Amino acid sequence: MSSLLRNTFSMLIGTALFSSCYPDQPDNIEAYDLVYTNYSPTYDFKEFNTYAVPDSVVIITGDLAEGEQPSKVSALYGDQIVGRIRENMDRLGWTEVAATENPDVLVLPAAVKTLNVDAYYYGGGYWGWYYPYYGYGWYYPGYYPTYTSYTTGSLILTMIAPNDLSPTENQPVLWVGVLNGLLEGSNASIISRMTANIDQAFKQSEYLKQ
Amino acid sequence: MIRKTIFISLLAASALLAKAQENIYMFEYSMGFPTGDLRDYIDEPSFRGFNFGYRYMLDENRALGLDIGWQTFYEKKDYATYTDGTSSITGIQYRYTNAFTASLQIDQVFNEGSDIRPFIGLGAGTSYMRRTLDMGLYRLERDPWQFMLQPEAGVSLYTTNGNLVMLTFNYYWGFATKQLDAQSFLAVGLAYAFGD
Repeated sequence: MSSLLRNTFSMLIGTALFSSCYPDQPDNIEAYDLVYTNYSPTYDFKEFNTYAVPDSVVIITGDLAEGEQPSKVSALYGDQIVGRIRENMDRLGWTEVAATENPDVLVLPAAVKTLNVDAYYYGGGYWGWYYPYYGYGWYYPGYYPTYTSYTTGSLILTMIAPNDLSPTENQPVLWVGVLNGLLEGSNASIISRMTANIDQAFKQSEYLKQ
Repeated sequence: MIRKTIFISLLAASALLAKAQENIYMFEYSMGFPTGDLRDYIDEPSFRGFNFGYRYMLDENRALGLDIGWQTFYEKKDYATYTDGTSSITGIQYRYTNAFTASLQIDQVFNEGSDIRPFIGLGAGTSYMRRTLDMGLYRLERDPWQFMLQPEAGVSLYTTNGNLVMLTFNYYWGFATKQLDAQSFLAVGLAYAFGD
């Protein structure tokens, strides 16, 4: 009994000290939202004009077996995500073409729901099912995406130049956007936050403008 | 008349008692005002601080002792974009600095025999500066130990029971380390002290 009391007392003191040391914490879900972007300074985005975007969003779950297809985000969210990417790319002056029409860049949306993922680990393997000619790795020319550990509740937007292979036949990642936050709240609330954050990712990346 | 005489006698006795005190223990509430790099990080005053002090009176006018303290600084930064090179990050920031300080102090006290005694002092010790940045689901933290100088000034008022009420001004001046620039702040404190 006395040890229970002692533990309870210790917990109370610990809680009091913690709340005193960190007096104010986020009090709503939106306050946890983060939007991170980074880009390659070695490329001039005005040299690219056309883009393609897949019509669904893959979910990164770890290693994929040979020939295994990744899971996809439900259309309820996926359609909103892809649509918002299109709106923003169009607003910045890009022209959408089919993936088979040799686009200058691909914008690839992927979601991380339940694990931590490293950007390098993620790579391009997830898209082989979608773009049959795909099979290369990625690299980040001239910059290092410091935000490489994508945790639970992230949407990763990756822009690659599929035709601009490096000597080692890797494809350059020209731009990366990461939206991170809590996957909580109603569907409408999640969609609203997600679309606002996609807008923010492009808003803070005006260098993408054509 | 009798009451007045008793009061004056008590006051005189308390002053004598105070003079006889060799050990003084102080408990202080303090408010912190960041300066320098700390102010660049958090530009808000802190009303969360507490100090404990001990002084050994070498004689009527000089004291040696120890101060330990804690002050929490905090500021919430509105939703904004921060750019560093090619990377940009947008969100709400919650910034904290918890300063834990400890120093050896030497003081010179003036107005011997008076109930109101100003003092000045200088201390040297260390500060453990725990700087925390919360953004989204992430927390960045740096927590260097810095060499610290602590000049102080204040005034003590001896009460009728021989204890002291003190108003203090301390400047906590931590020196830069590889991990963090010099961290400093001014603290204004109200203390209650007693001796034996």
